[in-house]
Amino acid sequence: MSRARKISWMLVSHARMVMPESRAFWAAGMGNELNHIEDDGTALRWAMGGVMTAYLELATAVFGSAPVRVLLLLPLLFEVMQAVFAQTMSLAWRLGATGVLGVMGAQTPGDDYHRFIPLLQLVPDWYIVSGFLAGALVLASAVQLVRRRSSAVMLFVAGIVVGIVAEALVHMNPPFNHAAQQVFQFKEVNTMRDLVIPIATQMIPVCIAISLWLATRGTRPRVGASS
Amino acid sequence: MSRKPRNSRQTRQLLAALATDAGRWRHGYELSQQTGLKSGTLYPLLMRLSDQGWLEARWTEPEREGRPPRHEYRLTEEGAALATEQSAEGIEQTKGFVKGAVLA
Repeated sequence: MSRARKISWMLVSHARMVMPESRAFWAAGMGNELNHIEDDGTALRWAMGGVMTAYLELATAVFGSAPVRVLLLLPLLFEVMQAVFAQTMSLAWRLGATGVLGVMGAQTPGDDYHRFIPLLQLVPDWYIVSGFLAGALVLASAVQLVRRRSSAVMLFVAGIVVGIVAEALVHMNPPFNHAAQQVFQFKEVNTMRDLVIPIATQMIPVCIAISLWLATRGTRPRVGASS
Repeated sequence: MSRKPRNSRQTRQLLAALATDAGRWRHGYELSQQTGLKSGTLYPLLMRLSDQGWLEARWTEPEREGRPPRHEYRLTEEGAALATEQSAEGIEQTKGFVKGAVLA
């Protein structure tokens, strides 16, 4: 037996171990096909595909489980909060709700809303609307996640895209951009604030989107569909 | 009744292959050769079609002695109807595209 064939059998055996119990029928079927593939290279590629399928099914089973989906709601709700935070502050400023501004300002770097005033004065109406629209889309995605519907992914991506586009457009306004640079300029360097949090803020939506896809892909197997 | 699948190119390819001589049982490797789909793409699709009730799967006795049993697949009646419907949609889309190209 060639080395490639040995590796193929090892991979197929690994795939059978990894594949969730509910999919064992398929792992066995996929593995046994190896006996009927003459070419070693083709057999190796077949086995690699089997391993990939097994891990994908495992991830789907894990992410699709109710406890993990409930856990996934936490970063989704964090994204909703992030989408509407600046817009809620802007709205509170317009309505003169200083109590709300005080509480929200305390959650920001600097612990005070007063330094945001030059920015709050320049926030356009459409920016406020876009933030709430993005938040609503992400919230709808959370609802679809609970219902295990694949539309959760598209709703989430749409929410994030609305947020990114609105952010890019609002910064194209020179007075707003200048004010933003002034407000978010800090004298001392803070690795957490200046590096870790911005990178995490970019990465979290990507991780959420992948998790949503895994949690909602396909459908639950019908009992007794295969035996 | 189960939902219609999203018609990815690979799903349509697989349905078309299964719909050719729809009553015949086929092996996974044969389907892979027929459609050009790799096992990592083919099997998740087969599982999904089976979950939806569009595909039947069974173990079959080996053709040659000493070999382990093998899986075979074929479309259910519902699956065959779906494949026909998708094929008709595909033809209509192609007709529309050609008509548009000729008129343009």
